[in-house]
Amino acid sequence: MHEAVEIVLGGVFAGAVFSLVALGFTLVFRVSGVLNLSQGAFVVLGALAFYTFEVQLRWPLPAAFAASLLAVAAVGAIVEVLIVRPAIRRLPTSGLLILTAGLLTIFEGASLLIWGSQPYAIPSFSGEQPWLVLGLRLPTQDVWIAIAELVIVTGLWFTLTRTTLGKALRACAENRDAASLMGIDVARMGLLSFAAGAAIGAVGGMVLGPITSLEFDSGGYFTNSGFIAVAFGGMDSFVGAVLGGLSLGVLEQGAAGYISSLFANSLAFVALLAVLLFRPSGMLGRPAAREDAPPSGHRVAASVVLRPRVWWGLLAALAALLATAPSLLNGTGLLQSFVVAGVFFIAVLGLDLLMGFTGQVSLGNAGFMAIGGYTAAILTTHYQVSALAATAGGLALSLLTALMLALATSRLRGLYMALATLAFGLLVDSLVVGLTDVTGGPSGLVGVPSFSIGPLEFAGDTANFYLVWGVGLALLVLSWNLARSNFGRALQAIRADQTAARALGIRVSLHKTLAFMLSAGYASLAGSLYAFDFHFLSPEMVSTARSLEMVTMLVVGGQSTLVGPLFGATLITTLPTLVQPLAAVKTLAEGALLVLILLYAPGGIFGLLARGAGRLSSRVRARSVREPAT
Amino acid sequence: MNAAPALEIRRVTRSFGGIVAISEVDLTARGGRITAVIGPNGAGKTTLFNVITNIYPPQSGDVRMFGAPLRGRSLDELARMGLIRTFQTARVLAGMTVLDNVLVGGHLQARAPIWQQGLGLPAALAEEARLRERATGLLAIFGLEARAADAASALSVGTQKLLELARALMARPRVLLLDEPAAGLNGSEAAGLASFLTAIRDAGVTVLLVEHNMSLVMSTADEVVVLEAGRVIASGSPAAVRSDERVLAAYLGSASDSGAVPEATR
Repeated sequence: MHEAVEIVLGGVFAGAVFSLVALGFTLVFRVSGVLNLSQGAFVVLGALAFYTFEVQLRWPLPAAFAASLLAVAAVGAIVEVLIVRPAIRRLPTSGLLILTAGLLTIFEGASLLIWGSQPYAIPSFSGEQPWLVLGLRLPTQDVWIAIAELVIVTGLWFTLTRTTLGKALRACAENRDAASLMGIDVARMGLLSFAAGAAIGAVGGMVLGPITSLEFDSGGYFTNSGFIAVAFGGMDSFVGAVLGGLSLGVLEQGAAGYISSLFANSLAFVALLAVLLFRPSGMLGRPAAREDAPPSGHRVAASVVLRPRVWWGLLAALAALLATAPSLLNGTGLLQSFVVAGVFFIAVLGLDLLMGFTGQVSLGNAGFMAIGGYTAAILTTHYQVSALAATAGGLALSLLTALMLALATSRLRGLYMALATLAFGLLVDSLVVGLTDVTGGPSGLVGVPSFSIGPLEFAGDTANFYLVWGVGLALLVLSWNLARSNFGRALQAIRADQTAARALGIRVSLHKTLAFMLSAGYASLAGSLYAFDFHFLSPEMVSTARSLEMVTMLVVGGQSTLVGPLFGATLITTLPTLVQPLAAVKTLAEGALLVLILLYAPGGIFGLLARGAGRLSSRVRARSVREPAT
Repeated sequence: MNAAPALEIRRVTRSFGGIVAISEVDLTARGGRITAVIGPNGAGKTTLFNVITNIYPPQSGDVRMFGAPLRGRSLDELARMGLIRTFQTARVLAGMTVLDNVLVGGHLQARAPIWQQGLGLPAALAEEARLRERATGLLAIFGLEARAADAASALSVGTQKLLELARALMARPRVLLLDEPAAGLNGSEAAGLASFLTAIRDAGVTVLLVEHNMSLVMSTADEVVVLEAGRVIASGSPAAVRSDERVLAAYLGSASDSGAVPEATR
């Protein structure tokens, strides 16, 4: 009995912090319509700033608390003004979601530079001696967590329901255009909500700091937890955010107490997927909009499918370059890095068909790399299956998983679909770590053989280079054929306007499902090749962080171009190896690159190159026209 | 010989939260004819199209195409039956070229399986070449061939309407629903549209037309149906409808719709 009460209480206190993140989510989402995936980073920023003020600078606790609160709120405000506000005007909803994932990466990279990679512990607010209440041992820090939660929830409730400012915020949440017509400064409300959301997260980090060690990349964990809480409670309900956070805390503590702490996460993600599937609007949310509105006003990136003559010329040049690359790179130690670039090129090419051409955001495609990679690795090491058959097995399992996920989520649209893929990726992450007996757990699976077809074995970097890039080129040709065909045009029509696509006879769900399965298949093959090349596979090689990195590669290279992934995957994989000093700022640079490209060069590197080439050719043409006259 | 009319609408009613948009509407579009639906703004013309295509399913009544009931069928199913519609504000596909927009209209004409398209097999390539040739021909008919490689969303509003019509024809419709095809067109473009419409009809396509441009309606329609406040108040040949007193009253009597008056009396 005591144990049960302690587990529930522990869950409530853990959940209190989740619900603070969730409140920040809801506040920002309702007022400015942005689902901010960087929300969890404010928790970490709050704790780390607090550490600096209190422990390093030895400020008194209240002063350190206030200074950290203000600093994080200021960071939130600056980010809103410099990045989020311009983005709202330029990007579609899916682009905004990717942008905030980029912000999360920026925060992690900046924290890594400032505070390093070690975890930090903050002293408790009022000593380590626990209180005894009704025979229960209650750590005093839990009391501070409860106080923080109560103060924030009451304060937010009072502000929203009893003040003019709250009325203005709620008006923005209901209808931004109408609020603007009524004279409400919508931009200021967006700024306020972002700063307040950041401050609320920071408070959560500061009260949690003494009992959890936080480090630079814990932000992703809090974003995930806060986001599950929001999905439980309903995207747009404040009460739902609080209840969702608390119930997630109790669910995780209960699972850890009674089942296994390794599966506490998996269980939470299963619950999340179930909520997204059966009640996407959450326990208390309003029903979600049914149809994706045509993206009026927002720019839709134009597809660039190269014309046959340009295409075959480019492909021949690429093949020649790849054929000679191993001898050029031999001895530089870079060959291995270019093999990995090829692996990610394959996965990102698949993502381009889904995200670039069909307009469906996936934040979980590394989950399919994990399925393909681990299936191939396990079948070859434990069951002596041939590498080719094991790869095919992984492919089949990935396609089946993608099919089931697509069927289950076919009712979800836009943002919810992207969130379901994120939940899927996180579920795969936690299963890979949790199923230690089969996958080797966090330390990975060793002893994977080289890829082989019958007697032909691909051992060594050169052989793997030709294998991976050979598969990559073949898939590039397949993708280009598809993009130029009736099927590819149907995908692009769906991206542009689902109703118009239907009116011309296109089966929208079927095509979305096929695009999703294609991207899963590409990722699965990439995962298998990755394992065979490294002779090893570990969870972080194919984790959700990799899913987000793949989105970055695609956006940086250029979406819906097929050639863009070549640039994106190669640049982001090899640059840290090429320029060693970059390795420390890799995370920050990746995040910054993603955000900058989204805001200022939506066509990516391919777009910039194409524009340059266009200018050059038009100048040449202009000169040849002018010359006879002069 | 198919005895059933191309499109038969029987006692169809649709309301939105107590506001009746169309009430007990009867309408028959005969095969190979142009039937025009006219009426003041808010008379329920676009609602009628949305009810036929089940975007707003009818609450009562029955819609049949060549005798087959349309109730419960999705928009893409209707397209596969040969019912193709355009929209009041043209819905061109952003991010795609003008030529690709028309090619999407040929989605149902393409028969090669996806794997053949992906592998670039000769049969798939030959079919693709045929579709491109036909799409280019349609663009030429509408005077858009020079803009084939331009972004569709870069076209003017009127040209987008023409592109949407070309795309609809690419689908080889049996019944074509056109929602204000002349909106946004200038005088000579509208005159050109009239000859396109009669040519489409002469090719055997049944056309149901919602239009405000009365000279277009009077010069092309074989039959005119007049809607007012969600009800059919008159129907018949253009000449008969033009002199119908209830129609004149509907247009001239409603001060709120002064915009339609000069057209109605033209």
